[in-house]
Amino acid sequence: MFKLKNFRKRSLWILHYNAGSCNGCDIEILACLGPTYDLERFGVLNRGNPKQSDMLLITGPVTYRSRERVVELFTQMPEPKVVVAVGSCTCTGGVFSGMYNVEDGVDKYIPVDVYIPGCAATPEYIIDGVLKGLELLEHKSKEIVKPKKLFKKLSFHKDHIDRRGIAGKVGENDGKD
Amino acid sequence: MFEIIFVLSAPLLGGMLQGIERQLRARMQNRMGPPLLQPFYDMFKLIEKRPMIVDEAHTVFAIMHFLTLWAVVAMLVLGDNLLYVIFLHLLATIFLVIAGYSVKSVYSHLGANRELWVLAVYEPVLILFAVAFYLLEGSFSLQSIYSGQAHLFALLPLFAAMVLVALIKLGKSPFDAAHAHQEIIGGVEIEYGGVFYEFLYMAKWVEYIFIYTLFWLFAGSNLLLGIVLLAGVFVLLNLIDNATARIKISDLLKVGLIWGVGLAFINIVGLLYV
Amino acid sequence: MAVLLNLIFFLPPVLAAAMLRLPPERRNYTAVAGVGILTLFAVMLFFLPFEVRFAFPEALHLLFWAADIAVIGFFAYAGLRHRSMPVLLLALAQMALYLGVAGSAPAEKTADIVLNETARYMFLIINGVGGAIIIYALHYIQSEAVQQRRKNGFIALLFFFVGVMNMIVAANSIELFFLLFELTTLCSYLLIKFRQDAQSVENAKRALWMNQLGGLAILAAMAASLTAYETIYFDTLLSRANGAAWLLPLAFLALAAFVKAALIPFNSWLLGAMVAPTPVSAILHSATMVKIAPFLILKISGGFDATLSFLVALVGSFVFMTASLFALSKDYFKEVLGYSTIGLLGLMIALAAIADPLAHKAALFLICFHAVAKGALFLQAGILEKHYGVKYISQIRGLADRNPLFVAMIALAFGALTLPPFGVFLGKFMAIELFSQQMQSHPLFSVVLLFSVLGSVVLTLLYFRLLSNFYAKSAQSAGEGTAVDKRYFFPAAGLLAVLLAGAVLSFGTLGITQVLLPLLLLGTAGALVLLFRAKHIDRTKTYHCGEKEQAVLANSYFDFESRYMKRAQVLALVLMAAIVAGGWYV
Ligand code: SF4
Repeated sequence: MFKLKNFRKRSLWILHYNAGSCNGCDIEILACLGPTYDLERFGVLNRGNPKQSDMLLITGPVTYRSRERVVELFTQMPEPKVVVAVGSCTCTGGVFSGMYNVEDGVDKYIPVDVYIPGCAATPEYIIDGVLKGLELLEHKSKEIVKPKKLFKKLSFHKDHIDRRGIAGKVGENDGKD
Repeated sequence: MFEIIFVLSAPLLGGMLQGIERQLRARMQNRMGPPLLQPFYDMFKLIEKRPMIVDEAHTVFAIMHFLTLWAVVAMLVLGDNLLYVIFLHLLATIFLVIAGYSVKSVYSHLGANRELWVLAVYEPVLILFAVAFYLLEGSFSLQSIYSGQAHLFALLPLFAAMVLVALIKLGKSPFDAAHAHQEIIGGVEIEYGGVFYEFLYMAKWVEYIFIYTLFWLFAGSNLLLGIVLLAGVFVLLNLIDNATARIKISDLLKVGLIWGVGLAFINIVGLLYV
Repeated sequence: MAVLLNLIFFLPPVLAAAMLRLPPERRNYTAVAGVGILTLFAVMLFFLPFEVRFAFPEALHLLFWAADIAVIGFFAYAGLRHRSMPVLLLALAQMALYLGVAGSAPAEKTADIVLNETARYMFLIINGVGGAIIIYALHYIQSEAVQQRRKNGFIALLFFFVGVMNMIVAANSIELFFLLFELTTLCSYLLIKFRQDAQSVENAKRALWMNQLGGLAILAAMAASLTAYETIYFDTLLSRANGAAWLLPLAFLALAAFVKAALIPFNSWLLGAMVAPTPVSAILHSATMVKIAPFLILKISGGFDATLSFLVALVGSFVFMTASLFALSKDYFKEVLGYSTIGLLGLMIALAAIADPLAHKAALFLICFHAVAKGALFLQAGILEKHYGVKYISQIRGLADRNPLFVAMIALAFGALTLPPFGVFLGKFMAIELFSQQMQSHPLFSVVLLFSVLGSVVLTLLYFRLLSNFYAKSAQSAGEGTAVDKRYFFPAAGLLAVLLAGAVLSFGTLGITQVLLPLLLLGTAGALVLLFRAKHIDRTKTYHCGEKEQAVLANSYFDFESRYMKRAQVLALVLMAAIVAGGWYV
């Protein structure tokens, strides 16, 4: 049966963001997109633009400076969307864990759907993880997903929701930061 | 009748063309590539996403860009006046530029600026292209070009200039600075998402049809030559795209003005004397 | 019908006199009524099915003669008073030449006034567009810090200018043409000087001496015409010079036109005119003054031979390209508009130089619609200055937030200068076809074609690059967000309405779909922008790489003017010299 929902898993555009990684995993991600591993055969394209992306492919342990950006980019992506954390440092802080300037894992800020281990994560793992995310995409709803921190209220207008202000700044928020 | 069906299905055909192109490029790079219908999968997915916009006018101009381009293709295929079609195409581009300018976004403005700069390169070539046919056929009427003889060999320099235009318009390296993805994130298209991005995505398909139909004119009524020509241009454009890296926008302007406009002009002057 | 013609000539001076006497309130009503009547006359004359020709009585000729002497005398006086050598010397030279020429005029007389098709079109734009500008000026001038008497004088001068223009487009005698040419020079001198600060006086002097050069060229043409063809009437000169080899009179007349059109080496006078109140720029650029140039070329191009017509077209198209390029490096809004006027005048002259009915028509289209669009744009520039306090493009930033309707109007005026199906587009469209046609018999025309194609593309680039500033964000705000005063708004909006209605005129040249399709698309865009409300759709921020602070946007910047101005001037001068030399020898 023809259902638009079926096409979620046939076309995946990704936004790749580096939240302070050592670039090891970023290189592996690019390798996946290149000819050898050819992620494009699953319809995967790297758009570099949150508004047109379905998947946030994030690397790095989230440094202090990148917190606001991660949340901002995440909120600019239209639902349904999945977040894939690539590499050990993105999942738990990895080799950086416990350092004064990192946040030990991206899931403190935004909900993560797939964790890909490895330091660096191998292309095979990454491909597996991305495809897992693809399957999850099918079960996602179109409700607005809120970030876990740095979240300001959604503002409701007469006939639309204004999401311009939902990502807050560090310090101006509800005191949880 | 055939023309009308062709015009009505222009976005579909363009989508098919892009599917084939993505396959071809993948094969050139020795990889598998996405399925042939991938552009349509993308389209259905985009329709299904939660829509979000920056503001209404911005959205409207993208829709108008798509509609105008479609009208341009209709006028081109149904055999109107070639010069007029090229100016109508200018209107479509202007809608895109205004769309880019109508939001306060750095990348969008950069994209619109670049869109205008490359316009200064390809628009003269397009007009000279029309003039060349005027000199050969005695009028700008597309009907007479479609039914006339093939002019490819009289217009070889112009053909080269048109390849340059096609590279610019279809966003292929080395001349893709106007919507460079890694540099300015697509330029004007940056602020669109979901179903509204779909219009720009389809506009690109229609642009394919527009450019390839222009190439078809070189073959006149010679069907065989036309098919060979289009296939050749198709492979050539993708080969160039795969084999080269992007050049800076300022270099693009220089190369385009000197080689594009230069070759087209030399061709015209040549036609007058030969 | 001669009565109607005389009315359209002499009513404006009468109105001018009335402006000087009446109190402000009654003055405004009289002016509006006067403009209405003049426009009505122009429309009536436009639909007149036959040509009108008549000669003025002898007494009036004496008056003209006296007026000539008086005007040249006034120029000499102005040269003395402002210590300007060129003005004084040129005035003396004019005086000497004029006395010589006027003394040796032949006894043979034909009609002084000929009303032909070109003149009819010109009446429409002079009285229609000029009238709209006068109505706009009524309110505008009240905000100038000068005595009421001088404000009235300003309006009176505008009316007088319109009267002179009405007569010049119907003049058949070169002598009369010379007088009116000098009168327009006088009007523009007084108008530019209006604010009387040092800058205004300086620019007025420059405008004066440059235009005096044009007057001198007309006198030279008259002298040449007398010696070779023994006539001082345009129609006799054209019929006698047709097929003749010696075309010096026509070459000199073309030179006069180049000066009036402020083509490149003479561009500084028109750009200098911006120091005056905005209605002055509006009226100089659209309905009067510079439009004499393409009109004059249209009038004489029937006598051109192939070489002369090519050379004039070459100058025109060359200026079209270079002036458009120079406009790119400008930041002052009125200066940008000024350069684009000069460029488009170049294109009109290039078209007018081709003796072909289609070229004639195309040039007329360009003249008319350029007048309307430029008039509207200058009125809008005036609104920007008076209402928003904005003179420079870089200050315009963010205006779209405050008054989207006004910005849409400016966008529409820009569109009318570039896009189908508006008149200026049609002119360019026909120009490309005509130049291609000319190329086949005269291959050098390919250069003219290349220049015009590049020029028109650069102009498109210029206008829409400008638009970006209306949306760009900047910290400083440009005035308050109140609605624009109606008395400013209506003349500008009226001209735009004429533009839209004018698209209908292109039916003759374009097919029905060709006109309706772009109108439909533009209309859809307008309607959608107004009506489309995206309900239940989320609004997001623009993308700034995840940053919170918005970056300030700037525009691209080119500097062609300081680099290439000298070269362009020299080249244009050489071409103009070639025209005179060609007129002599060929
Ligand atoms: S997981 Fe290891 S290789 Fe990957 S980004 Fe973190 S530190 Fe670098």
